[in-house]
Amino acid sequence: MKNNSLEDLLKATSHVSKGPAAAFGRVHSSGVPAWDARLPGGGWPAGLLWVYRPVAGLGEMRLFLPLCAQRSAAGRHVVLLDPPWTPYPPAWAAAGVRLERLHWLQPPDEAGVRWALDALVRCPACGVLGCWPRRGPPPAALLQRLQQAGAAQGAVVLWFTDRKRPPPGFKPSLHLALWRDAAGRLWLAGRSRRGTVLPACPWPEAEAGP
Amino acid sequence: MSRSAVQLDLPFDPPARPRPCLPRPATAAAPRPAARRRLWLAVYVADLPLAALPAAPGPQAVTEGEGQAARLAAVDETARRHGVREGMGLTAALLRCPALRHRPRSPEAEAALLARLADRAYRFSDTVALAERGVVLEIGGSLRLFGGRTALLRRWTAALAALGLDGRWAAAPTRPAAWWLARWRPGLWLEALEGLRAALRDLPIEALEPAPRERLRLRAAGLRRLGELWRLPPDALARRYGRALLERLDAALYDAPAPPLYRPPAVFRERCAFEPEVNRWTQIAPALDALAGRLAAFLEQRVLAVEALAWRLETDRGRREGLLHFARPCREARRIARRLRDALQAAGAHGAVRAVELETTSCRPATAVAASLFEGAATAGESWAALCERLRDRFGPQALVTARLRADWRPERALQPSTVGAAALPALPPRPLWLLDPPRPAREPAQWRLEEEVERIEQGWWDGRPVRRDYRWARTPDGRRLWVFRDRRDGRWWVQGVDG
Repeated sequence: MKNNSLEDLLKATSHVSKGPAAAFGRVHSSGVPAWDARLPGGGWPAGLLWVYRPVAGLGEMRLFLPLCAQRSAAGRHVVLLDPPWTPYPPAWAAAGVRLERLHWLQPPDEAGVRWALDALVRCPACGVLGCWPRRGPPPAALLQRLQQAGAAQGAVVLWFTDRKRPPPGFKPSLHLALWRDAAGRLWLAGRSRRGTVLPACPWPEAEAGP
Repeated sequence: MSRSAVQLDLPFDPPARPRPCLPRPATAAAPRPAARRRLWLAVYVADLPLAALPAAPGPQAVTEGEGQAARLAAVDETARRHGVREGMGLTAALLRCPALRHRPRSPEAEAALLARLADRAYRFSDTVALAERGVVLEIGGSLRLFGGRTALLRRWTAALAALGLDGRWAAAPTRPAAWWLARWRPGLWLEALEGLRAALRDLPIEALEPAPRERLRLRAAGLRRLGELWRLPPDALARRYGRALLERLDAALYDAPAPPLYRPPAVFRERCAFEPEVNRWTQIAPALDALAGRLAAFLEQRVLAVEALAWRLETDRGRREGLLHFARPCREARRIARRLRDALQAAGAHGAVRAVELETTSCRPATAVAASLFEGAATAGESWAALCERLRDRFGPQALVTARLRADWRPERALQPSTVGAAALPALPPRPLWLLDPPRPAREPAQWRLEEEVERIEQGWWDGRPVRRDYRWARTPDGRRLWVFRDRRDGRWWVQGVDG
């Protein structure tokens, strides 16, 4: 860190606030007022959301259904890339998602997944992009690309994973962790890109749940 | 027919609306409506036979004829400095320039080059006639469109230079006259019929392309210039040298019979071979861009947009081929190149690529409105339809699924794509977001915490796939919420959905 100008220093460090426009991209309302009140920034931010859950199927997608409904009503498309199970349209429709804008895609290999990610996140018509990475740690460069393109297009990239932490050097728009306790209650904890912490708390899911 | 000798002998130009010296068929005799003045631009490429062959160093020439009768059809500049001329016998030429590299003419290569030249000319006019070493195109209609004579000639010279050719040009109100002038008096621009006879008077009789015997007879009679032929009474000329000669002479002054016109091919088919074969994608991409650029130029010229494009890829591991469908007919080079890249990459251009071949299989007329729409879409970023195309190219037509509803109580049936569109949504009890299709037998149903509510589905007895099930929601120890059912026929538990 010798001979660095202030500008270089600012570029190299992500924990220095660069003003609201740079630090926060667009924030979409989560669709549930009780959630908006708790979430840092008041909703789901555009960009990449790192969603950690110990096993798939804890109810993580339900958290984003109102967002999907709202974005699809606004003319954006919801794309699920390589989901672990087949989406069941009646449930999505019941949650208010416009089915004509709900799509899913199963690329045959990992290279195809990455190619599709790049192509989808750059499309301005894509509103919510759900990803279920299967193999290996994702390269930080790919995540960074998704984060930036998503923030630029106002798209929310949902990165559902069973890895607790993103690779070093990458900061998602929002880093979420969710789990269920023995009583079956959903817990949420998180930290935004800017450093705002969402302390671990039982999450009110009654409104969105079936 | 009755034309006085006095009038024929006049040394000045013919009157503004000349009468033909030969009786013409009734159809042709009707005076052409003077609504549009015709003007022909001829381009004569003297060294076309040479340019059609692969370039080689040293003085060189192209020969026609065999053995002793071999003559030089075209000569390059170096050979010309040695005193070698066109039309010279090969033996004589070799005496003057022993290092002369001579190759026989290649009619196929010349025809291909001429077709490319005509293709360029077709951008200036839809009336393009092929000649032996050049083209004649009608520009009376397009002169104003291209911004006048100077601008048109500048564009045309650039088009020729892009082909690596250097042509001589001339313009005249009739097609043969334009061609003769380009060949014998290049650079002349003549728009009026009035000056035509004076301009042609000094041309050699070879312009009429007489048969060798005829040519000798004309020469023997002391006739060397076209002007000298005009001085003779036409019937005497016809009697002595044949009517065909007189007709050709006439055609230059009045109008030629409709020539066989160049028709551009309706299908774009091009092959891009890599020698030696290339391994890296970065080496193939520029060639693909160029190929797409040529296809776009082809489409632009014909006011077409491509709907379906077939491609073939030859690698050291074999041939692959496929078809690109364009949801919106396309004529942009960038879009074509990108889709082509995606498709070829998906087809596994991993091995060494030897050649790429393209062929349009379906085109439709493009309209001006559509063109402006395409440009708008291209600048505003990629639209959803274009993205779907790319995804389908890469992963196959069935890869991207859009959700549909089907009114059927059996959960797995409601999943199937329906052709009737979204059915009215029946008021269903809660359903899971994800479906396991087909249902999986449950591993440890004893550990589930079952919810109270039971939904009984007994359906499908009418189409031979009956279900009799009791559905419930269950929570697993690790926190998942499953949609499970017990088959009422055998009492086993199955998992059909996950909610999460």
